[in-house]
Amino acid sequence: MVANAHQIDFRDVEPAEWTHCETATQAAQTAFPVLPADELSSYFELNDVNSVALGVRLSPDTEVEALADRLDQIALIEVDFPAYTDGRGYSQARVLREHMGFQGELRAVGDVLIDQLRFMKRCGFDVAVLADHVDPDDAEAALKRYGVWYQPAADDRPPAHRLRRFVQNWEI
Amino acid sequence: MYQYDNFDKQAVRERAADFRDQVERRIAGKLSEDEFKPLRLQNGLYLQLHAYMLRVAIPYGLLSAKQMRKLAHIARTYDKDYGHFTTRQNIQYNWIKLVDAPDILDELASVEMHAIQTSGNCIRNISSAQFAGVAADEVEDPRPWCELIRQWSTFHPEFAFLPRKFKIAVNASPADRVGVKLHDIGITITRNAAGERRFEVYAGGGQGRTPMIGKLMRDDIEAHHLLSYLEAILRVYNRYGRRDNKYKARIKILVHETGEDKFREEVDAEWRKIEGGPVDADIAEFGRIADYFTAPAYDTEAQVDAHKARAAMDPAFAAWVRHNTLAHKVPGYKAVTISLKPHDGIAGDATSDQMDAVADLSENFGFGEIRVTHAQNLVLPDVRDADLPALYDALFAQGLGTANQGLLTDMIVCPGLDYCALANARSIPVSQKIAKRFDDMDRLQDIGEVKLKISGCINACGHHHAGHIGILGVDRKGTENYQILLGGSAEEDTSLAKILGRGFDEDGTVDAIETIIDVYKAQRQDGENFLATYRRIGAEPFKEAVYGG
Ligand code: SF4
Repeated sequence: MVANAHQIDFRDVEPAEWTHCETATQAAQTAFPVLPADELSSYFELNDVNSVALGVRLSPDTEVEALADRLDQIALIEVDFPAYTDGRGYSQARVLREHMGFQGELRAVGDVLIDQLRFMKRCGFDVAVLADHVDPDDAEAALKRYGVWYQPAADDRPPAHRLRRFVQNWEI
Repeated sequence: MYQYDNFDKQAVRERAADFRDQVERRIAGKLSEDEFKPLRLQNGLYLQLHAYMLRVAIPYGLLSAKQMRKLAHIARTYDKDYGHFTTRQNIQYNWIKLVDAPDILDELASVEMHAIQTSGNCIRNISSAQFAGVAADEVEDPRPWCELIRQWSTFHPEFAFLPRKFKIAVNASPADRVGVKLHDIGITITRNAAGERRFEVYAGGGQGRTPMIGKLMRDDIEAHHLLSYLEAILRVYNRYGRRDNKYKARIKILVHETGEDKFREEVDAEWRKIEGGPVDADIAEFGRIADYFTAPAYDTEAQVDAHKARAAMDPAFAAWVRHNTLAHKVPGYKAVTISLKPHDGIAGDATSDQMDAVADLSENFGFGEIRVTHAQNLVLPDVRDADLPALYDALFAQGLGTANQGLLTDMIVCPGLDYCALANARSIPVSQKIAKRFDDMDRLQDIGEVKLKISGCINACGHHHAGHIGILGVDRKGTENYQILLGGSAEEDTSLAKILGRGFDEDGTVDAIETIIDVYKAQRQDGENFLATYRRIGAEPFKEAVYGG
């Protein structure tokens, strides 16, 4: 993990000392490795594995469906946003959560800026690791600003039209 | 029309507050211009050649009198006293100061308006037919569906950073008034053989530098599956649309490169996982929305053809009624198009005073409702025949009485090099020269329906591919040059216009248009309009006349 990186927790997660590993063999000897997705099959072929829990790092073009067989053995998935304008990670997150039932920790990393956080939260991320130069106080403030959503997504927030049915004379 | 409840009000206020914060962070140097750019774009703020331009959303082109007055006030207070209505039924202000933008968003929020998602790589304002709810040929009013889609697409958490912008249009009559097959997604609401509501969904149409006609994805989507089907298309596009090249990033390229059938299968596979799920569960919301679109209290005694006496003695008025009014579903009423194409003006522009005047007229001669059309005109949808003379006189006094709806001078014209940083050539002067050349109502009426559309560059904001006659500005060795295209249509018989031959300078273009019109007049048969003649005789006779044998 990058030291001092500020992270925003959308939900409480078990803290762990995750370490980025480049190769499967390196990961097998690490307690909490985070491995690139394309190293995953080699990792599962190794016999001598001493990891406590496994993390996987996706790139935007990773086919998340390919993780299906191993999903229950993955504790953490890092979804990389190499540029914040690249929105593929939002779909990856929703597919993992809603189609594949991934229950582990989902973490947004990379070019994570303030104005993406509210979308990440709704797409099922647990944690967003802010880009270095982002002020965490500004991030928290911006995140609090939005209360109204119009569509269901991967979080459990009810969209406005569902609330409307219960709140007739709702005042702000 | 739709009225915001407290949820909607909170949403636009939150957004305005958020944007104020973003502007402050930008001014404080906490956001770089690169980081700020997509944020301001998602709030409709572009940097043009000379200043910021703010594009305000007019959902499916529908405005109340109160909202129109606010638009006039903004033009007067923060801009140069005018606004520009666009082909996406929005309004643009061309001379906005960054520091004023948050105040303008607050002003807009006070009348249930905003600039959300009017630019940027997200789902844009939903467009629809300008005669929705009043046209006699409609199977139902498309606007409640537009509103449902507007809400679903607003702040959609998954689709805020698509490969490219995404435009959806909804039509509900056999006559295509929205360009269904020229949108990223085009929807036609129909009835199946059993009389049940079905949605035809087209995907992958678009103009721009690679124009393509949309492909029919499915014609059997039911109401309670509409949103899941849209979500499935968007998810496939978000995951697999090209991001390596901005000019290949629209969904039309994905559909084209994947292949229509395979793309449909991929969408179906995704759709099967989500159909009937949470996104579809809220279809009950549709009933709440539809209640806002019930018909107004029409005068059941409205006298049919009450304007005929004036028409009989005033040919100019008669011409205006003929061209600028449309039969209404209620007898004794007409839908009136207010032309924003005076022959000495700029297509789509309206002054603050004109906007205020239109707001007043919408209340005096209707139910306080105004529509913006994709042809950059305005519509008063509910005018009694008996009121047409008074309305005409009032419009005429405001310079809004031009009787050219659907005629050659009712051009669609993009802002071009006068404003736009991407332009190769100016669009406005050439449009004005054409209007001047044909500034004779008798002649225009004799020529009849011609859709002339002008873009200042290959990005095609002026829809030149879809014009009966299209004009495309190009940069030829540093000078402005114009190519002419013929044979396009954005209606139910959608076709893409083809380039006639080498381009011309401004005056040469005007001459060539006149020559083309002369060929049509010489060749037309039995009431054919320009497009019908072109389709019958082909490009050759036009080429010969324009370029010589
Ligand atoms: S067509 Fe080109 S010149 Fe015209 S508005 Fe679009 S980008 Fe600008």
